[in-house]
Amino acid sequence: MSKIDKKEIPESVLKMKKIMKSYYFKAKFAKLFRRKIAWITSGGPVEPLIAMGIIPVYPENHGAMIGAAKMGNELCQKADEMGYSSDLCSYARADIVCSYTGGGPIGGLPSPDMLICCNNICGTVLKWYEIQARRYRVPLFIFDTPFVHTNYTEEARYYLENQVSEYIDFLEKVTGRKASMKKMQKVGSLSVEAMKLWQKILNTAVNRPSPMTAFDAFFYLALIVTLRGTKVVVDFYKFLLEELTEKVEDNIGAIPDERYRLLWDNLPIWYKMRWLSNKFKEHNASLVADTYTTAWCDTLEFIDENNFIQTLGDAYSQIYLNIGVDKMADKIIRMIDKYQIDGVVMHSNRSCKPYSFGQLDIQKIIYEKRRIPTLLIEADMTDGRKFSDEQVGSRIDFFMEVLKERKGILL
Amino acid sequence: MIYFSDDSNNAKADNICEIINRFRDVAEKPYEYACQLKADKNIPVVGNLCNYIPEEIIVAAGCLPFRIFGESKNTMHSDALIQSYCCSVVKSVLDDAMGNKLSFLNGMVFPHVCDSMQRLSDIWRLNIKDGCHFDVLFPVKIGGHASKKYMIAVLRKFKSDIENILKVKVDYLSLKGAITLLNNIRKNMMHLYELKALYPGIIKGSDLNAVVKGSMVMYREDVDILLNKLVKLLNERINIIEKPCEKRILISGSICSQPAIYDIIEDQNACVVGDDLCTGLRNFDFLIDENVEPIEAIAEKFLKRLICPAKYIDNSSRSEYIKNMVKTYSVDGVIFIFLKFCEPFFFDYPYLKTELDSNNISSILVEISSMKQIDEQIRTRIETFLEIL
Repeated sequence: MSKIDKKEIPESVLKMKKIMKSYYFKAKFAKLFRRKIAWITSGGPVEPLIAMGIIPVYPENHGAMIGAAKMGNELCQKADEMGYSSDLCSYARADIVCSYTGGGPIGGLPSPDMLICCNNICGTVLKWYEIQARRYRVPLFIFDTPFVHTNYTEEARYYLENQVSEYIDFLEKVTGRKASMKKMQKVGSLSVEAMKLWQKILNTAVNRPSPMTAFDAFFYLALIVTLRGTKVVVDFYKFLLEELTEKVEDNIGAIPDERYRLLWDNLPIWYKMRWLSNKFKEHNASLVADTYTTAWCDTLEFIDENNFIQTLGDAYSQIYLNIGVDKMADKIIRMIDKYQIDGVVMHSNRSCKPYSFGQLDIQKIIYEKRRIPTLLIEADMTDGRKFSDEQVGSRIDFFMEVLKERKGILL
Repeated sequence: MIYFSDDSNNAKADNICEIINRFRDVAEKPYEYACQLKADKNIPVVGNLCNYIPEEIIVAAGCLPFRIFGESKNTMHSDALIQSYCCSVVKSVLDDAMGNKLSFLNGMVFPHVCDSMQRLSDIWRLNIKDGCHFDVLFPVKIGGHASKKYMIAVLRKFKSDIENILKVKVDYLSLKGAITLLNNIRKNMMHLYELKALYPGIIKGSDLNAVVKGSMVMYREDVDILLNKLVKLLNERINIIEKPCEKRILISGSICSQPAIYDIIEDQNACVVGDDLCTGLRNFDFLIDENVEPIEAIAEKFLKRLICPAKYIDNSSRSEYIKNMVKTYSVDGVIFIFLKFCEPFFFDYPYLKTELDSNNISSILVEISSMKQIDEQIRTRIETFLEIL
């Protein structure tokens, strides 16, 4: 057991825990506050919900909590018994089991009044939400985002515009209240502000040493996912940015003697966060950037802040997971340059096919364009039954040896 | 002339066995068939991997819509491009392309269905340089005004893309002709399935599977000729069917790449009287309205037909469809045949099983790979299921 002095914990961590606690409290007792609850996918357009006073709840965040609490194995075992194949997404499996058993770290999520599923992250969510719609007998809205393999087409733009109207109609019907466009715009502006701040927070990692690692980003991400569009996120991220800026000014790195700068691709392996963090630390390697947390701010270019609702479809359909593999590789190359990356660690995630398939091409592109080595670790984000510490550990050790040798030669 | 008929082989096939063998030959060696067709008649071949592509537009363009099932039984080439936890169809097809077995393709159409297929399109575009690349991204959400308008826009764009890229012309009359031709094929296929349900011994399951598979590969005017004959000849046999079928089975899944399954079932004095397969009735059970503007009529087909589980229309239509088939065809048991790693189908399974259980219909799930033969374990499981049914 690690003995961390409470005084060493950054204030931002304590603040964030408080915010998340209050958020889950409100969601758990939503009925008392006469608020409706919508379950929504992590890449879904949450701003209309916030604007209409609906509390968004994220089953994927729940999946991450399950993984981090190391409860994934047991819940996935139960999912097997319920007839769900162990090849299916472990977030979905674990969350579905909790819906039926009230299990998991918070005794299951508060029951939804509606479900909002945006397929910009995968097709899996479609099936997952269909199952939950049957389970809870609540209306389901699908925000269908055509995939952008090469170009974002006019047909897709028009389809998304129409769906934004359908989405607002759906919310008005379920809540029995009229949507205020003024409120939507205000929430949209707060959302954009939060995304810009999140980008600035991630940008602090360009400094040597980096004041934060991807493991920190995985933690702080929860707010931009769950509550973007609210003032509390903006205020918190301003605070966090100040904290990180101070660290930069004081030359304090997240890794005491940072020698190697790495980029992480794909979702975290939640049940091995500390283990992986320590493993890389042993090698003086800092995971200074990652594609996962960057996804919550890399569509800013598509949003017109003054016409948030009108450009909502453009932004939500062009997120990292809804674009072609070559476009993903371009983004990684830009991150490699920006954060001065020495090597890339790819989590080949059995639970997330759209994130993982194409990684082998990206690996090739990275090597061709930047001659940087990559390490592919096959695992699962929440179901740890097949994870081998020994095997992954030796692969990381070997990868770091290669990096050390390369750096030695290059220096 | 838009269509070509291979009268040298197909017109001569005049008994049931010959016709079925003709389909089987094509189904077993589809790449050889396509190469031969191209060499003889210079017909452009447009590959596809799913039912969610507008075959009518491809036929109207004078091309052959060519369903690819994947032939490779190993992953020598595809291992370098895609992980092991990908479904066998995607791996096998990619392996074929990497091994230059598909260099005869003039174009390849990718649909918007599952995540694996979606990424296959990217991987293909980056690595396979033969032929043109089309992404036909139908809506996932089926139903509603926005979805219909988008579907029509996607179809119009595909029509214009295929015209521009393959330098062909798709006009009103050629589209009408293609719709009529493919409707005729669907009508005959439905008729075949009806005959099979009413007189299960009239055609072997593996033969019907070969006919279906062959019809997705063969030049469609030839398919039409052969099916017309086959249906006529089978109708003449109705009165001489002897052996009744004791146990009536429905199979459900994506593609059934293992005809041996039908033989295992029939060896137990059971028979498949209907299916819910992508490479089965689900591909034929909806006719296009020939009195409506062609593109809108094609869109209607995709919006009204039974959905595949990778699409969404509501929370229960798939289970209602299967339960209805069970009732209509007096089915005794359901065999779910899923390709390993096929997420949309596996997600539906617990619900479908529960629904069938509550209607006292027994079912079994069999996990297959298109790259491996049916093994003894699967054989035994199916046999045991049929014994206790």
